[in-house]
Order: sequence, then structure tokens, then C-alpha cells
Amino acid sequence: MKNIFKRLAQEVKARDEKVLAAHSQYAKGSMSRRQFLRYSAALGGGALAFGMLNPLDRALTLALRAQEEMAPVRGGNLSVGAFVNTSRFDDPARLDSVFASNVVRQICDYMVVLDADLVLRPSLAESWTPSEDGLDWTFTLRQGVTFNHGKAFNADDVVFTFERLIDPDTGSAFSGAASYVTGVEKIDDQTVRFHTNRVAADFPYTLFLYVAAVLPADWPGDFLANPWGTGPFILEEHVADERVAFRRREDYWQMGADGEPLPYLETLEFLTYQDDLARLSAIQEGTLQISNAPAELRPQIEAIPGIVYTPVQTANHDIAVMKYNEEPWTDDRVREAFKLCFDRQAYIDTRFLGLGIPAADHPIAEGMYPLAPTDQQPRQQDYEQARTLLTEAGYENGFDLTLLYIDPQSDGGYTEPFAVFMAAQLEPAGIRVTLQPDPDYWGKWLADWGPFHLGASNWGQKNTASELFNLAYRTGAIWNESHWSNEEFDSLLTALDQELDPETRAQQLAQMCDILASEGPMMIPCFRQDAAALSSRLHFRLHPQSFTWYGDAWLEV
Amino acid sequence: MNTDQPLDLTYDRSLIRPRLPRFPMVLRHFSRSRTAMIGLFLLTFWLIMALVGGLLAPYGMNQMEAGAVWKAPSAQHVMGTDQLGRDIFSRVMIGARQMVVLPALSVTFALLLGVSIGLTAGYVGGWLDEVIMRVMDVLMAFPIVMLYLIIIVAIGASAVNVVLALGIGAAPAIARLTRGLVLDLRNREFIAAARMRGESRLYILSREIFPNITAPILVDALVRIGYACFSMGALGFLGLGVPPPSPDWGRMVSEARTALIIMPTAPLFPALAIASLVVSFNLVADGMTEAMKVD
Amino acid sequence: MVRFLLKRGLTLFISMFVLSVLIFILSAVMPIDPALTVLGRESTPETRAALTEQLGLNRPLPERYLDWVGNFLRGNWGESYRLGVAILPLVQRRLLNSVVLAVLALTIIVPVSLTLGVIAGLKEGQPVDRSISVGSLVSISIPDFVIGLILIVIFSWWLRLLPGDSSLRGDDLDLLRDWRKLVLPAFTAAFVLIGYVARVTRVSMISVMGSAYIRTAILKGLPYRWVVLRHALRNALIAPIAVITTQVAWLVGGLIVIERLFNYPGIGSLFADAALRNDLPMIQASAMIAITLVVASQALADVLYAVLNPRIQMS
Repeated sequence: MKNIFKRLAQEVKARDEKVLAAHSQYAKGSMSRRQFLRYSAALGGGALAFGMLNPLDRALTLALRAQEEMAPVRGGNLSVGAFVNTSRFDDPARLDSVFASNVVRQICDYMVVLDADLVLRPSLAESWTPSEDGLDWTFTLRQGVTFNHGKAFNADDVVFTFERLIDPDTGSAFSGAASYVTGVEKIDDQTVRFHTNRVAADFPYTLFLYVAAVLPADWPGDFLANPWGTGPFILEEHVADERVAFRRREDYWQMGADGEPLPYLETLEFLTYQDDLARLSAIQEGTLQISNAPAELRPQIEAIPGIVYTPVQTANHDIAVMKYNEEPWTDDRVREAFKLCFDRQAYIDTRFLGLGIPAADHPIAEGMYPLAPTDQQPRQQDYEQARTLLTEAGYENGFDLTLLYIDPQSDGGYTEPFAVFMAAQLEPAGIRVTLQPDPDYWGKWLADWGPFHLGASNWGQKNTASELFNLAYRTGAIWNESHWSNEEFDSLLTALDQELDPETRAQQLAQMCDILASEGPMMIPCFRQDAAALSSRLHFRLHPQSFTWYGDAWLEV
Repeated sequence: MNTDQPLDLTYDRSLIRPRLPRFPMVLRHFSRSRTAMIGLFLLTFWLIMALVGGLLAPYGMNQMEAGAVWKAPSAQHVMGTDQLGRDIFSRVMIGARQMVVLPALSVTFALLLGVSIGLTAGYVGGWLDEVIMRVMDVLMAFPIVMLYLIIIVAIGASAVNVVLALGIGAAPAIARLTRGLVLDLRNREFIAAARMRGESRLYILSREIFPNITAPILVDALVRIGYACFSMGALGFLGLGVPPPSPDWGRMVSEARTALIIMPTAPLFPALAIASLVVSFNLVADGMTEAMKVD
Repeated sequence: MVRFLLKRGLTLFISMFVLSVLIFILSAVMPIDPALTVLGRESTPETRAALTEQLGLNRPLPERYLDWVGNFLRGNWGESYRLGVAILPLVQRRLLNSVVLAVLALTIIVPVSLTLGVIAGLKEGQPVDRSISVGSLVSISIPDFVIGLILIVIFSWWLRLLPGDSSLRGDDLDLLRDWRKLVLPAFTAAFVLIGYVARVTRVSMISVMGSAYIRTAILKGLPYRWVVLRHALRNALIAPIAVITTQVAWLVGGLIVIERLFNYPGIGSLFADAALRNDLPMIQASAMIAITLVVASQALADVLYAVLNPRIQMS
């Protein structure tokens, strides 16, 4: 368990670096002072970052931190504007988006929690240890926890939950992401043991996959009818496509700052807003106290009094995917040329109004994943070089292709600007793009459908680099959009999963990132900051993975 | 649309073909109407823009200026810039072509469909007519955006498919109008005379009936082009129109709707463009109808 | 009269049948794998195949159609693939919201457009007529989403008088409490139709006032006002009322853009979401609702027509 301390030290370093990154943006003027201070205060920025502030900003940071440390007030009703309840909730094991999981997250707990500061902390599991050979993991469970339907929480519930999750018939993302888990065994009421068929250093992180909410052993199915969990809220009402409402639970196991059980809030509701203008109106009219807010709404939101536009750096990224096994992408030079066309900073400045950091065409953002490589070198736009490479590859006149991307109606219009921007950036190099939105992007793309050789989508931040690589980059992985297949990469990934020494792991990860960056089939322009419009009365920390848990949120009176 | 009604009864006109509205006469009346001339002026303007708008545009339709998001109108960008730093004026100018051509194509397609259905139903009559017309009635009253949605989701969003969807949407009304006109003519003496001469059905439909219904159908088609612009705007607004980066005015309004609060001119210009184009079609059609009535 | 209505009823029934077949075929050929919508992409091909079998989706089309129509008529509308909840209560809720909005829009449209049209028709060629005519022409040339945007920016952002967000937060519609949320969407929907109906009314009024019997009545020395109110109006209103009834289905089921813009939970946006997210049973149910609405409104139009103008249809 020495590793944990080492990792913690690294996390603190990572946090400092995030604050530094934010400060450089603040210095460049792309982030307002209040935002930066609020951001660094929210991160609990370390001494390093604090030291480099000017005295006035230091005072403000202290004031903001004091505000964060104000004694929480109990009561209050929170309305959240979201894009959440447009999915199915009948089985938490089959949730299909982070946003959908945020509904379940209020009702159920997970074994562990990856906090907003990206440190893995105990939740229903109090502690865990791997066996000598690294193949078994023993978890000690928290005592005195009850489900909201009265049942006491014990090992049976964990066994029930995870046996369902690893059963392929359940159709859960868990069975793919943790395919090495072979079984889960009850040792006694407070102890369970997971069996795996290979060493998996990151195994505890997978227990925070959003499908892994712990359900009671007597759960009969249909979560909307039987919303049973150990979480801080009780489901009160679900109106499909409109509203999910929760009420506080009196006997939640986690205690607040005042020594009483959480949550502080009396009620909580998620309201669905598909249209950004209606969402803005709702914020302005005071209907919503918090709502996720895409970058293009920043000026509008900052114009509303009492609302703070609050960004958080994430590893979320847009991604242009080249079909690795099809012309013209089989040629390394064409892929390189493609990546050279994109002006990353221009994209950040235009699309995200400056809120993001350029990426080096691999998905592991510095400071956002444990052990992430720190020497990222994003490509600079270079049309000349791109044209030379294309000519060498036999495309002196460029080529035409169709870019398939997620239909604006399916993702709230998120991907489309990326696709449009990309088309404009590729044109000077002679790559002529026809844009093709598709409501069934994933179906078409993954099923190898039709004559589309370029795709545009986006990926959220995962718990670990290994999780993302095993989902989307390993040969034959279920979400491997590009059909990327590289033996060296695969064997490094296998080695990474089995390695426990952090130094070696960091090296392996850096090597994999290098492979992806230099010859990978994807162009990743930047890691964006996500943001929310927050009422200035609301005390809440944004999570870089878009997870929202309102157990410890509170509203000033 | 009683343009073929006899006005003078000095001779029995039912024995000969009804007179088509005389063009110079119509033109004179048309040119006297101020609103019609305004419509014609606007329409001509947009037709010219459809031809040369691309040449007048100072910027490319997808030319971006990094970081210049939602800039207010200025000397460089007379209508400001959009969410990707593109010049709104250039996009409106370049967008004129597809906004004129695609609705016109869709109405042409609708005319093919609608007129043939209407001619058949009207001339054959009986139960077939009754059922066809009832289905057309229902389709006509069917919420049109819903119809587009079904079609576009089934066949995908592209310029061609938008034309098809709009055409299918407009065909029932044209069929209805055609049938009405055919019914009006079917029992006239000159048709009976043709029948007695032993002319084939096809001949009667194409040579005797069709020429006599073209004028009102064409005027109606002008109105339909206006509606098709409208519908294209709505499709663009829902993100189902012609895919980007082509400057679809409806999509431009839609994309600018949140900027409305900080820069009201952003959605205003493309909205004005749609409205002025549709109004021009309506004014011209209105003027034509009035003018033909007088004749 | 009875025979006429019977005949109309029969053809309505047949057209409904034809359209239900059309809708079914269209939705069946959509490139959608329902099992994928239900189970998600993480599911195995085996479980998907099992579900396809269980849902009976690999049976022949005619069999599926009959099954579907039977279930539909029995009120057994099944479960939404996308949301995993029963369709019938959801559709009922949304439909009620839409009907209320449509009724509200109609209470604006009918008096305003008929009055404007009648005035313009009576004052044909005069400045009043010209301004009404041009005004209505301009109003039908502005897309509904533009009207909505203008109303939102003026009334909810500048004047702060009315909410630009019309969501009901999952509650049932309560007019006393929620009326402010309905004002802007209702006016947006109404604005589009007012010009259209006013134009039809105007033309109809002009042709009635020009007809022989009205001229005779006026020549006979009957008071002008009395002739207009007693004789002309009744005949002149037939056409606009017929036009309004054909728009009822649009007002209830077609306000997709307006519902989106105001985040109002109506049937149109429910349908749009279903269509865009591959929710087959919901698409079929919503389309059938729309067809039923259309057919019902046309039956109403027929009855109204026959009542208002018995002299035409008796022959």
C-alpha cells in the first residue's frame, strides 16, 4: 500500500499543475479572475499555486476558500437543469451515459468513489487489499449501512450486484471493461473477495464504473418501480423526458460537517432541457440553480446576475477517427498530414472560448489521469508539411471523403461544430470533406457501414487510462472506432494492467501515448474544460467526469 | 381561381376551349399593383443573389477567424460573425442559392407527383377518386414537420432528401387543386366533343385539360415555393436540413438563437432573409392572382 | 344527409387504414435495430437476437401489422424502447398538454383572424383592407421559430414579463397556475395562422358580398349591417372554418419547433425524440395519434360544413 501514498503525492502535484494551467489561461485573459480563483479554490490548489498569486488575488482566494469552508446550511430545494432523463433507468447495470448515471448516483452508492480531486476513496467498501499473487482482491465492507427499503447492507448485496454485472446476459458495460473478473465470493457478512484471471492493478477503480451501483440482494428488477439503494436521496417522481425528483433520506450513513447525516438538501430535482435557449431562460428566471453550460453560452451566462460560470478542466475530448484499415488511412503519411492540418489553439479559442488545453493526439490528459505523461507536445498546424506528405503518399491533388458525425439532435449539437471546424481546417491541404450527420452514428460507424472513412465523436474522461484503452484502443475492443490494431500497443497495455510498480507503469503509459500520438488513427485537438452555470448561493464541486453527486451540496439562505 | 369563367356571354363559349388569360393584359394589371411590384423586386433581388451571391461574398462560407465569435456588425463584417467566427453576411449571400434552388426543385417534384395524382383522380372519378382524395386530405392536414421527420429519419439528411421530403409534403395540396380544376373542366362541352371525336384518354388529359389548368397551378406553385423555403428553414432549425457547412438560413437562425440575448442581430439577418424571400413569392403570387382575375 | 355522412365516414375509415399501413411500412423499413435501442451496445449479439425473437420482430410484415393494429385498438401500446416506460400514459399526458395549447391558440386565432378578414373583405380596396392584406401576407411569411425568438427576447429577456421557459417540471397542467407559461407558445402558434385564415376570410367575404343574393338584398333596401350580419357572414365563414379545422391537427401535433423552443412537453416533441432516437413503438403510436387527429378534425369539418351549408351537399 506504499503505492497509495506515492499516488497521493502525485495527485497533489497534478492538482498544482492544473491550477498552473488555469493560471496561464487567466494570465492570457481567457479566464476571468473570479473564475480562476474560484476554480483554484475548488481544486483546493496547493501551496505552489497559491504562492504565485499576487497579494490581492491571494486575499480573494482565501476569502473564497473561507466561503467554501462556511458551515453548511441544511434544507433547501435544488433544481438541476440537465440532459439526463431521456434514457432508460430500468436497470442501473445497463446505464448508457454518465448523465443517466447521475440519476442513479443520488439513490445508490458505489463501493469506492473517485472524488472531484481524482483521488479514489472508500465508500461502501472501507478498505481493500490484493492477494500476494495479485489475482484476488479482498474488500472489507462498511457496517451500519441500510438500504432505503430497510434491508441492512452486507456482503450478499455486493455478491448479488457484481454477479449480475459480470454475467454477459445482463448486457452491462462492466463485463466488457472488467472481463478479467471471474467471480465474487462472500467471505463473511463484512468481507467479499473478487477473483480475477490476471493481475489488474487498476481493479479498485473499475468498481466506480457508473454501471456498478450497489443494489440489494432482494432487488426484483425495474429500478423505476424499485429504486432501492443506500444513497442519500430517495426517488420521489420520474416523469420521462421531463423530471426526476428526489427527497432526502433521514438515515444516510455519511455524516455532514455538522455531525448530522447527509444530505444537506431537502429535495433535489433534475429537469430536462434540450434547448439551450429555454435552458438560459430557466436560469435567468431562477428556475434552475445549476445547469451544465457549453462554452458557447459563457457570455450569455456571465451576463446573468447571481450566476457564476464555473469551468473545470477535464480530459474530455473531441476526436476525429480515421478508419485505420481503409484507404487512404493505411498510409502513415496521410494520417500524419491529417493531424498537421488542425490548428488546435484556434479551435480552443473559437469553439471553447479559450477554455481548454491543446492535446497531442492521444487521450491521456496531463494531470487528469494517474501517472499521465507530462511532456505533451501538441502538433502545430503546418500545411506545407501536410501537402508534402500527401504528395509523397500519392495524393498531390488531395482527396474527397465523407465525415460521419453524431447528429445534432442526438447529442444536443455538441459534435457538429467540431465537424464543421475540421472541414474548414482540412480544405487548404486539399482534403475535401462532405459532412454527414447521423442519428445512429455509433451503430453505423462501429458496424463498418457504408463508404465513410472519417468519423467525429467525443469521449469523456474515464477513471483510468487502462479503462479507456481497453474500451477503445485495444485490438477488437467493443468501442474501437478506428479499428486500430497495434501489437506493441496491445502488449504494453497488457503489461500495464499487470504491473504494480508506479515507475514502470508511468513508463509504459508514456510509451503507449507516444505510439498513439505518432502513428495513431485519431486526431485529438484538445482537452476541454466543462462548465456549469452555478447559482452563487450553491456550494458544489464540479467533477471532471461530469459525475454529479448532491449528497454534500448545499444552498446558502 | 375562376380564371376560365366566361365573362361575356355574347357567344356560347362552352363549345370552344376556354380562353387562357391573355399575358399582356395580366402583365399590365400586375405592374399596376404596388405590392406586387415590391414582391417582384425582392424576388428578382434574391434570384440575382442566387446566381451571383457567391461572388459578392467577401469571405468563404466556411472561412473562420479564430476566436472572433459573435462579433457585432462592423466594417469588416457588416452583419457580424457567427459561433465559429464566420462572416454572417457572406453566409447569407452564399446561402441564397440553395434557399432558392432547393425549394424550387422540391416544388417541381411536388408538381410532378401532385398533378399526375390530381389528373388521374379527377378524370377517372368514382371510388378511386374518393379514396385518393381522402388520403390526400389526411396527408394535407397531417402535421407537416412530423411527415418530414419520418421521411428524413428513414432516408437520411442530405440536399436531395430534403428536396424529396419537401416535395412529398407539398404534393397532396397540388393534387387537390388539380383535381378540382379537372372536375370543373371534365363536363365541359369541348371535352365531350373531344371524346366524341374518339380521342384517347391520354390525349384528352394532356392536350385538352392540362393546358387549361396550368396558369392557376403555376401561381399556386409560387406560393408553394414560399412555403418550401419556410419548411426548409424549419428543418434546418431542427438540424435536419442540408448538412453543414452549407449556409442554411434556418440553421443559421437556429445556431444564433442563444446569441440573441447578447447580440440580437445574429439571428436577425438570416431570419430577415427567409422572411423577405417568402414574402416576395407570396406578393408575386398574390399579384398574379389578382391580375388574372381582372382579365 | 345521413347517407352523405355515412359515405364520408366509410372513406375516412379506408383512408385511415391506408395511412396506418403506410406509417407501419415506413417505420418498419427505417434502418433501426430495436434490440440495440433497448439493450444498448454493450449487449451481446445473442441477447439481442433473443430479444428480437421475443418482440416478434422477425415475423412477416403483414402479421406484425395486424398484431400492432390489434394491440393499438385495445389500448395496449407497449413500452417505449428508448425510455423503458409505458407509452399510453406518457402519450396521454403529452397529448393533453398539446390540446390545451392548441385550444388556447385557437381562442386567439378564431376571433382575431375572422374579424380582420371580414373587415378587410367589407372594405375591399380601401386603406384598411390594404394594410390588413399586406400585414397578413407578411405574417405568413415569417417562420414560427423566428416569431418565437422575437417574442422570447422581447417579453422574457427585455421586459421580463413572461417566462421564456414553458416546461411544466413534470406536473400536470394547471391553467390557473401555469397560464403564463402558455402565453408565448400560444401566441407564436397563433401568429402563423392568423394571417392565413384572415386572407381566406377576406376572399370568401368578398365573393359572398359580390354574389347575386346579397346584392339583391342590399338593392331591396335592407339595412347594410343587417345584411352583413344576417346573410353574408354565415356563408362567408364556411371557407375559413374549413381551413381552421384542417389546421387543428397541426396545432395539436405539429408544433415540434415551438415545443422545442419553449421546452413545452407536448406530443410533437415526444414524437421528434422518438423519431430521432429510433424508438419504433413510440413513432408508430405518435403517428397514429396524428392520423386520428387529422381524421377526426376532418370529420368535424364535414359535419360543420353540412350544418352551415346544407344546400350544397344534399344533392
